[in-house]
Amino acid sequence: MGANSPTSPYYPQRARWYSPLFSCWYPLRRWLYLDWLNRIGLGDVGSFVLGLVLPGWSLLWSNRPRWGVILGTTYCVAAPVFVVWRGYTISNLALMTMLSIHAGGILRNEPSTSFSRRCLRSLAAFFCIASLIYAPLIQLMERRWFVALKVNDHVVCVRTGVQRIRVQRGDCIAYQLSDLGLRGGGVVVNGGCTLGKVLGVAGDVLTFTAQKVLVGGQEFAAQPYMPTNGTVTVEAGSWFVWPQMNVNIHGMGNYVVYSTMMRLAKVDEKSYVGTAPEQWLWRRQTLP
Amino acid sequence: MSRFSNLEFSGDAEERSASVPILKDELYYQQEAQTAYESGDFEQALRSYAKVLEYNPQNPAAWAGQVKMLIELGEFREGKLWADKALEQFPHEPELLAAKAVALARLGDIHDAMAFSDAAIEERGDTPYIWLARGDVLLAAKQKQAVSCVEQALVRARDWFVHWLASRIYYYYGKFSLALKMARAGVALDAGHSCLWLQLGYCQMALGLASVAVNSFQEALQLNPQCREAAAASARLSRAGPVRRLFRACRGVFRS
Repeated sequence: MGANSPTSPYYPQRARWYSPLFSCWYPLRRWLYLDWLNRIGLGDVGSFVLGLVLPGWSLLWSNRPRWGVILGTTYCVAAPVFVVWRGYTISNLALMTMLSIHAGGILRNEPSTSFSRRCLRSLAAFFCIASLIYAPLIQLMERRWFVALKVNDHVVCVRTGVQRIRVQRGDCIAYQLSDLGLRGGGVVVNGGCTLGKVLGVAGDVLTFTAQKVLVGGQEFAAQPYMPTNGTVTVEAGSWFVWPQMNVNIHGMGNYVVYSTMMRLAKVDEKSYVGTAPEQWLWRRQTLP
Repeated sequence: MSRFSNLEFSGDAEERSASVPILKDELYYQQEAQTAYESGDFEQALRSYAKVLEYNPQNPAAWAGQVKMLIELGEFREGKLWADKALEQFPHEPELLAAKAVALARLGDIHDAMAFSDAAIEERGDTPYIWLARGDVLLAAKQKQAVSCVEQALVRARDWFVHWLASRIYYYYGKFSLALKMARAGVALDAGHSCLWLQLGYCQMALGLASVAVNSFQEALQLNPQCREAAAASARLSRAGPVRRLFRACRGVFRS
């Protein structure tokens, strides 16, 4: 009759080699005692708090635990991608993924909720999460850890939170140019964060020649629009950093540019953002 | 009549018994399936139940038996699917409902498992398996009433087989002390079953009682020299190094 063969209509379909994958979740959950947590009445407030604290993973305690694993794992992958490749497009994509997962985790849409209401609630949650959690966290990260700057199509990571006192001659620093922005007299300097090499610290006397700048026994190559003679003494509380910028001149003499650049080169220590190391993680950085 | 006809020669009995044709019908395969089940050969039992169904597809016990075998083989998803198929024909069969409850419980669907277990009891199912299934579901739900459900099963049939099944259920849920108690009670009732000794050995091994576990596996091997599981477990225990032995001893202390 052939009951021994799988073709028998009364012989049940047997598990495939991959079948345990479909049911491995429950034993794992029991092993981790997550099923115990599931039976705690989380309620709306509980699930909201859980969604806020454990982005993605909070779905483990819902009726869609597989999505909890998938989204939680995706979030855990996206977070380091966001940090490591900060400044690149993939980092922005990772951030968007994290935001979406986080926002999705705190929402509990009922099946009866209309599509438009779902969209509205999702958008509201997304922007709340972005502005109340992620923006402050990113600001904190940029203030205390590092900030990624795009310089001439290169991403340069600048270590922030380094004490100003440690800045030495030859260091590549990031500083805020907005404080030195000039308007009027036909010169416009677009503000923002920029990078530059410290040529002199407080008290240094810089001697300019056509090919180089001499300071404290050190030599630096001359840069565009730099004076070709004369000396400059760096004032206390400031550094001498020749600004790296694209210069567009329309109908005015170079002397205006020279004088503006010289003013911009005197960088106040207060506008200091951070120091750009030559190597960030495993990446060698292209510094000006 | 030949005058030598009453003389006995060696092999004569076998020849005579071989000449008697064995009627392989539904009952035969049902018995074969039950024997295989009771000896822990779940694959063979599954095949035999399939044979029973080929003779009589309207045999609900065989359908339920197949679902039980799939569960014992750890194929809960397939067990649930097969139970669904069987329940299309026998929607009020208590053992089928109970077996599906077990499959669901072991898949983590406690809510539905409880509903099916309730349904099995409501259908006036009063067999030991229905109460064991209830205990299984309650163990999955981590409820204390599980023990009393297992006791209810034992009240209905105080034989070694129910004790063995109860021990397997407790073992699955990591209740090794209770599993050991059931296996010991089963051995006390009937010590002539290899699978019972094997189960006892597993429980002892889980509790870190390696020395007595070896004896249990040896007993299982004596009763059934073909028992590969007992041979493998015994060999594994004898190969265990000092670190593993220490680990087992520690585990035994914590679990006892």
